[in-house]
Amino acid sequence: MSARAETSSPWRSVFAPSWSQTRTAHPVPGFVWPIASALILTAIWTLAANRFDVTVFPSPLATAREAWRLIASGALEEHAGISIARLIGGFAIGGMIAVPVGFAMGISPFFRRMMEPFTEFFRFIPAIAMVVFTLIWFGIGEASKLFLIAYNSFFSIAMATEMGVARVERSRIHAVLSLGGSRWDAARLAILPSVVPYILQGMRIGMGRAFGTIVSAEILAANSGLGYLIYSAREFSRMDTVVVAIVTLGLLGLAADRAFVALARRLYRHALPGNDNL
Amino acid sequence: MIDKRFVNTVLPYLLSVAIMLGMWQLAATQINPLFFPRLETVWRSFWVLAQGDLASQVLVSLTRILTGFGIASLVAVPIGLLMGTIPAVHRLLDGPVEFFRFIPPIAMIVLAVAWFGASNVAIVFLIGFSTIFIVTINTEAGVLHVVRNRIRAGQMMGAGFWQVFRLVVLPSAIPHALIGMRISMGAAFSTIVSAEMIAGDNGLGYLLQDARTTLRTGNIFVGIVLLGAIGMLTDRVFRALVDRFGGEHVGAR
Repeated sequence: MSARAETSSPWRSVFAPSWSQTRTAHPVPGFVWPIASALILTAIWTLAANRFDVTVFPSPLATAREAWRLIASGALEEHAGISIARLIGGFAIGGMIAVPVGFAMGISPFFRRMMEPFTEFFRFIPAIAMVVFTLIWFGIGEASKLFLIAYNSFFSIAMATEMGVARVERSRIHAVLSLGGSRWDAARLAILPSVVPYILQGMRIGMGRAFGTIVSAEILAANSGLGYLIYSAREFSRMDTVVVAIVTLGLLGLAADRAFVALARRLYRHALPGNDNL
Repeated sequence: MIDKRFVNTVLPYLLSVAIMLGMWQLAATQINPLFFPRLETVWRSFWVLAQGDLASQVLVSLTRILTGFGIASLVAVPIGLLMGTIPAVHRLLDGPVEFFRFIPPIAMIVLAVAWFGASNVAIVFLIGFSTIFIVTINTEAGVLHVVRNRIRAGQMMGAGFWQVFRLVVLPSAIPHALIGMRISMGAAFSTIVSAEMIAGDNGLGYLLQDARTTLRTGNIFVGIVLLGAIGMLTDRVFRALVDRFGGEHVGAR
């Protein structure tokens, strides 16, 4: 998942060394391709939509019209805003718990072994399976959604933090200690700064999952948010509304992902570390 | 004498599991059992369910996951390989794949039910949707991560396109494809639970939803613990596969 950033720009075939040396300058300018693929996709969509009723498969035009209606009435902004607020709130809570826990797991092997039975087991339980409890515990209000998102983000952030601590160069810690710094100084000055990119990567992975969790939670138990918009449209077979909400979710997810990459680049001037083990 | 390795490795695990169970029981005695059941209640629920149709419900969910996951992987790996080797395919498909992978699979549920009815097919479609993009992207990344000098070495020794592809590119891409499958298996578990809760009439997700509406908290705990155990097991299987099929290439990168 992490390969995109490093490999995208001067894009050449893996076989390039042997057969494309004579035509390194591509005859087609770069911007043509995304436009071409968007056009092809829209054409396929239109053709497919022509064969079905609008209550099954809305056309691009019907979807665009519905998008305009939802934006003009402010409904789309309102539902999207509510979902985003839930995501950010849950993420803040989850991150505030996960970073210290992950940090302690990385520093102390004993603490790591104490926590591992929990983290290794609970991270395989889909956050949405917890929805039944959170409804019993917290009721149908905001607290249950915040808990789900916090639960969801905890594992990816804690494990990324732990991995970051484990990968800090030992010589940096030794440098602080040999210059007379305490273990606390080493943690603060040598370990913490090198762990921040890992924390960002953990947040980036957790954010992808959190979108799925918030949609499920809003479908199952909410009366606002993009998930609710999708599920309430079902009752009137308004598939055009459903597609608008789906596209909005995709765009929001893409924007959040790119924001994390940009933030990491800004802070560290290099790509995010690869975290295949999350 | 107590073995030192025992103190360092096994003891913390035992200690933490004991603390967890102790805290659970303590919490359960303080809180209304409707909110938080005791250990023995969960154990009893497990036995009642196990004598009923628990095994068949688990099997239903696993079959859906494996079907959707299998079909999607069969489609995704060739597409990923094509995107990695042919620049034009990459340029055409990169945009759509990058966009669709950010759509939460569960958001597709209303469309899936409209297209396929509230059936197995709709749920299998959602599993496929949560698998296909992750596996495609990882397979493509695998091709792009092939060490250039290995390709050059093959070509220098006179290997043609197909030989390089089969002997150099494919073996290096497989561990990445497997990692993609491992990641998407996690996503598939989360999707199946939501999908069965919303649109299923059997399976583990339905079990949870049913227990919720009838307020049988013991059953909810059984379902959640089972999900954790099965998810962990499949993850271990994929880890073993990655190690078996050249995980060292991935680590060495």
